Amino acid sequence: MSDTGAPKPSSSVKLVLLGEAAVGKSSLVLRFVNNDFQENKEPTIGAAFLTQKCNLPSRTIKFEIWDTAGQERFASLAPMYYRNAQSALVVYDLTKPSSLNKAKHWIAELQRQASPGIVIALVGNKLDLVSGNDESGEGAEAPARAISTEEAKAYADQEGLLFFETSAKTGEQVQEVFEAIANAIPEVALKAKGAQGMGRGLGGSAGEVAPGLSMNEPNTKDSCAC
Amino acid sequence: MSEFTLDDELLNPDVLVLGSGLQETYLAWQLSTLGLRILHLDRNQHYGGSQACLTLNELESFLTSSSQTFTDATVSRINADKLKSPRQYNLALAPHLIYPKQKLYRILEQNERVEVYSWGVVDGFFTYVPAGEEGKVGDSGVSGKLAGAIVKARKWNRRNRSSVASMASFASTETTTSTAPGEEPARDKDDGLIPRPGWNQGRFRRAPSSEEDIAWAPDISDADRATMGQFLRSTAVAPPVGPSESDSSNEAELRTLLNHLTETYPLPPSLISRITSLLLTHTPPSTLPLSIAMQKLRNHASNLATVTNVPSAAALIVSYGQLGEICQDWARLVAVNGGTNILGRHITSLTQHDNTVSATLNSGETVTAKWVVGSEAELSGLANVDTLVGRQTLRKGIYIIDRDLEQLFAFKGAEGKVQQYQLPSAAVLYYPSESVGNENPILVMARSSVTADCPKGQTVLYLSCLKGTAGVDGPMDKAVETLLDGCEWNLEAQEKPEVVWKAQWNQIVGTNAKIDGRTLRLGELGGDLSVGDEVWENLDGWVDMLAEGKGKREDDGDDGEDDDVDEEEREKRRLEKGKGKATEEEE
Repeated sequence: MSDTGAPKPSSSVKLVLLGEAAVGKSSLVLRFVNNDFQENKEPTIGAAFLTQKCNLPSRTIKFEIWDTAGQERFASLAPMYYRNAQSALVVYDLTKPSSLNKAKHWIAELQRQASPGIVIALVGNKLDLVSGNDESGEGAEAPARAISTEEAKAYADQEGLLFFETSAKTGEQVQEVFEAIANAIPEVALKAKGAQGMGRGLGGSAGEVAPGLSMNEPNTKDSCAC
Repeated sequence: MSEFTLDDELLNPDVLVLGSGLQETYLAWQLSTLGLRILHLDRNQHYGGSQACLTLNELESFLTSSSQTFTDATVSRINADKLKSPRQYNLALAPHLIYPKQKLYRILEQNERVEVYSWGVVDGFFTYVPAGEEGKVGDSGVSGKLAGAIVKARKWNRRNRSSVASMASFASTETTTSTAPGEEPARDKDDGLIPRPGWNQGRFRRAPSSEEDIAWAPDISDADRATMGQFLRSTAVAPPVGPSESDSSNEAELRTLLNHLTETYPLPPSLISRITSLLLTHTPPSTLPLSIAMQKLRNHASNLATVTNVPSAAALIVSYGQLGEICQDWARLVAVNGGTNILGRHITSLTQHDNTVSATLNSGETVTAKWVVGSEAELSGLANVDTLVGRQTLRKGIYIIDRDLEQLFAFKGAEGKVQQYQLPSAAVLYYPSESVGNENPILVMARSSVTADCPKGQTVLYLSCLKGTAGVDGPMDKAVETLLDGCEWNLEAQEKPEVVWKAQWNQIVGTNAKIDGRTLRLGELGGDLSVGDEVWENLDGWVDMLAEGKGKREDDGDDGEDDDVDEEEREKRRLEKGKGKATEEEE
């Protein structure tokens, strides 16, 4: 926390993970969080969220990455999971057809529930299984690709989503996903978040962590929601 | 939901938690932190139990479905055309405020959950004073003696008004039209809400909660001002009984707030009501034990000026789901700790064994756990825990208004620094007994659209009142009408704001927890508009018991015998911690 590295503006961005169970949501995050910084952040299983910085030329984005913690398994994700999320990573398994349908479901849910300005990246994971580059012996017969790049890309374009195919296993394109998200987050959204910092801090005894200033936040959300 | 199958591991948890209200989720979360395996179910398709926050449609169907704790509901779509999409409403069953120094906030703080929520500020505590009552206020005359105070107040108000545009237009009418009979014109220049002439002669007065408030309130006579000041100072002192008293302890116990404020600190009824509005309790001052009242007042006073966003504010609210939001967060933490949450499931039978309890789910499976914990709604009729103690029934109401009631959410005082501060997004209104035909006081929590309870341009009013012998729905309507009538809300659109939707229901509150074998039924939270610290003490006890020695709970330094020392220590630590950070964030 106390590293005062570059004087670049730095902002926190909440990112939520969504997708069918076992498509590799957590693995993607662990790959991103562990790879990027030498700073030893143990892969905290059981953390409410993980954080990772993403350095852009003009600013630093600190991702607060929220995992579903398995709540999606029984369709028991709470609405508060989406709240104030400025970005979302919707993951499917490109060897599993049903997982794209599920991803579409989550995207619809995000478009309904989350902030209108939310940056959504659609990510087809497990690229290693179909690219043939990675011949790890343990996988038995490699499953065939079930979702073509074109099909998913067309859907992403139509919905205005960022689109990537990744491998959490090899790390291919993982960093790129997060950088693309960081770049896509509008400056305005970051400023609003910055203003939030100002409101922080209950006076004295109530502690230094304080209610974020959120006077306009929900409103901005709702104003375009209808 | 049968597509989800539960494997053996899930069906044999350490603790089966039923319901996802504030208490159940706290318990489940704490136990999961200690490494216990939790299966956490809720019969509804949403989290929150009696503290849930729901969309309009969800609330309508929740209230009209049968339940033991929520009964006799009526829902009316009065002007459906003006309702926005149902999903734009986040309506709370528990519209509580949160004091920064109360245990609930400290739990969030200690677990670094504070920043997860969007917080709002409560600034205004208003009391409705009917026209007749006003005459009893400070007969000594506002004129001569108070002139100085009025000038001060004018300046004060001008500053506020110039900063909040709507306030300014609001103010300009009151100076010219204060013609209500029996009113002295000078009295209109206070910071209360002034009725639109001819509509209503009652008025809403701010609760004077600090010495400055008392010093500057132009509607308090000098004599009362002194008494108020003395009383307020007395609340800061620990002993709950007035300084000059020689009551025997028995007598002290029987003493009510009303006794105290008519005998020891003689104040007129309207001022007593204004003080009572700070207590967030439904019990009228005539039956409210003094010791409890003093404790609540001390709590309020100790929280004054702790919110830097709005210096005059003492309390916070959680935007969106209020307590329901916290329930959702804590339920998620259960999952984060390896537990499993499943919505839409409940148990249909419960069998106690020597060291386990087994329960049959509505989906057919049998769960065997070491303990079963559940809310009243989840366990009713299933366990031998039906003797309820301390039961109170509230009549509650939610009214959606088709207008921003901005004056409720204006600053009390900002010294021209409005830009720097967060606008209040919630206010409390207090209607004393009999003021609108009500047997018991009506409490109103008003929340602006900034809280996301409703779409922009609307306001949500949450009403609650102890259910007495007489009906409450009429008085509740009247209370809302009084508010809508009584103020010049919008000069351009002359038509009155109106209620577009309302719901009313009975809700059982304040029941005790009860244990039977290995089944623990948690009671319903009390009826106050804030969550008392005692709730957590009890829950922590249950956590220890259920954990059965597993993963000794960390001492949070809060349970010490000497609270004052702890408090000081904490402040010191915070200040130290805060220093480095504060300077860093300053620029």
